[in-house]
Amino acid sequence: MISVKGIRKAFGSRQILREVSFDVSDGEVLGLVGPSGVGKSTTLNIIAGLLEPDSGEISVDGVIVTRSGVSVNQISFPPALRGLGYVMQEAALFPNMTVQENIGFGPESQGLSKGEIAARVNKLLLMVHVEDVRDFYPDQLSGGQQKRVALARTLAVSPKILLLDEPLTSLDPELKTQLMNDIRNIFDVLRATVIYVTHDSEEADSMVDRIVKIKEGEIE
Amino acid sequence: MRLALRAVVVVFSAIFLLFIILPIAAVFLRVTPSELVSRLNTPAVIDSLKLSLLASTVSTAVVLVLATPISYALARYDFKGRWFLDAVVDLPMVLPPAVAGLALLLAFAPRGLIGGVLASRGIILPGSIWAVVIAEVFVSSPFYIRASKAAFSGVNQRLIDSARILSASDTRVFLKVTFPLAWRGVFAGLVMCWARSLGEFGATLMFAGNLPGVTQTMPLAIYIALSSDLQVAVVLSVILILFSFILLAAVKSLGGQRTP
Repeated sequence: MISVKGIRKAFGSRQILREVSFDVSDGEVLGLVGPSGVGKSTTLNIIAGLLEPDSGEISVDGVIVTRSGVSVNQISFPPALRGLGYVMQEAALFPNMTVQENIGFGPESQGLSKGEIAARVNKLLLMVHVEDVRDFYPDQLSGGQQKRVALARTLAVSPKILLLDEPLTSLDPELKTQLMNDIRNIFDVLRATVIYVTHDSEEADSMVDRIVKIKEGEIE
Repeated sequence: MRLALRAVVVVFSAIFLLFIILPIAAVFLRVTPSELVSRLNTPAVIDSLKLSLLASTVSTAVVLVLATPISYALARYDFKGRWFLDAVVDLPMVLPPAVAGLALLLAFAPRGLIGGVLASRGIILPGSIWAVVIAEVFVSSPFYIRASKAAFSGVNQRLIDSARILSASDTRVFLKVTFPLAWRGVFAGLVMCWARSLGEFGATLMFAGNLPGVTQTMPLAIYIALSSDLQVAVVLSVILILFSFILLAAVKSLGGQRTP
């Protein structure tokens, strides 16, 4: 379970998050929905540990991983210790690595054996349907393939919680429908706890169990 | 209007190129290929060439090891006083060579700030090849730091964030993501640093001295040869120009290649 309590964040004089609080139950797919620029990605970055909030608290399975603010003991777990996987809006694939090297990067960082890494990579290549481009570099892939590889790379570290930031954005309708079905299947198979960020309410309706709307840095 | 602009570009470019090429051509026209080969065998040329190559290679290696961490920190970390540190590491680039030489003397000569401590342990830097290396590190390090800092800054932060979330340690992020994506800029910086070391003159003359076979690098040998044997100066100049051009061409060709 993820619990987000009273998160506030400003960049300079611009208050991005005013008061963001919500809970996500185990195995739940929660949609964080709102127009561009309201703080959805900032919220994910704070949950992932890439940004520190000005105040507020985040806990994962009862363990506080982030606590900021005046007159509290500051807590900040590094991203790798949070048990999260994060598919960013831009695929952010490592351009100097092939598809299979990208997917194997996380397991290798976790110290898995070569055999385990190869087995995991092969399974994920099949799961997201990119086995035929395993030796390609990211700049040789289509936008849809890049998203699939980014998803596989994230799943390769077996995260307990999955954060997805606009995973279907800038894809043509046909690719979008295909990837939507694949992602939904993956949610069902993995039974992972998911926070799914999108600006598209219709997309959210078909992808998530529950929707939380965010507007001007506050939960509606 | 477009024609007039084009004419201005062509004419001014031609004048500028002529301005650069004319002095270089003047050097090359003073020596025939056969004379170049025969003069290469004179001890003055060979000694200074060897010393220059050795000192500039060692100083570039020292810069790589000592300056990479600060270049990386300036590029990737936000901390108080970063602008100050940035200005400090750039300072040797804008200092007149005579000031750099004097500063090194006042620091490392036997009566200098820490030179006394070194002298008491039997280490006398001025007049040794180490003084040449120190002078070259001092003046050429900013060229490496500027280039490598730009290269490290150019690596997309989202890639580094992704690697951290995927359980990579800071060292692994650097070795597998940041450095492979920045290496062309790092390499270009090293080449510029090496070229600057090879051409170093003022600070070396003041701090290391001009001892043939010990501290007399090619630029110093050229300076001395001007008053004794002009052809030796010309031969050494041709070698320096050729080396510098090959290095620059190597760097420029890297810029045209596909980034991994």
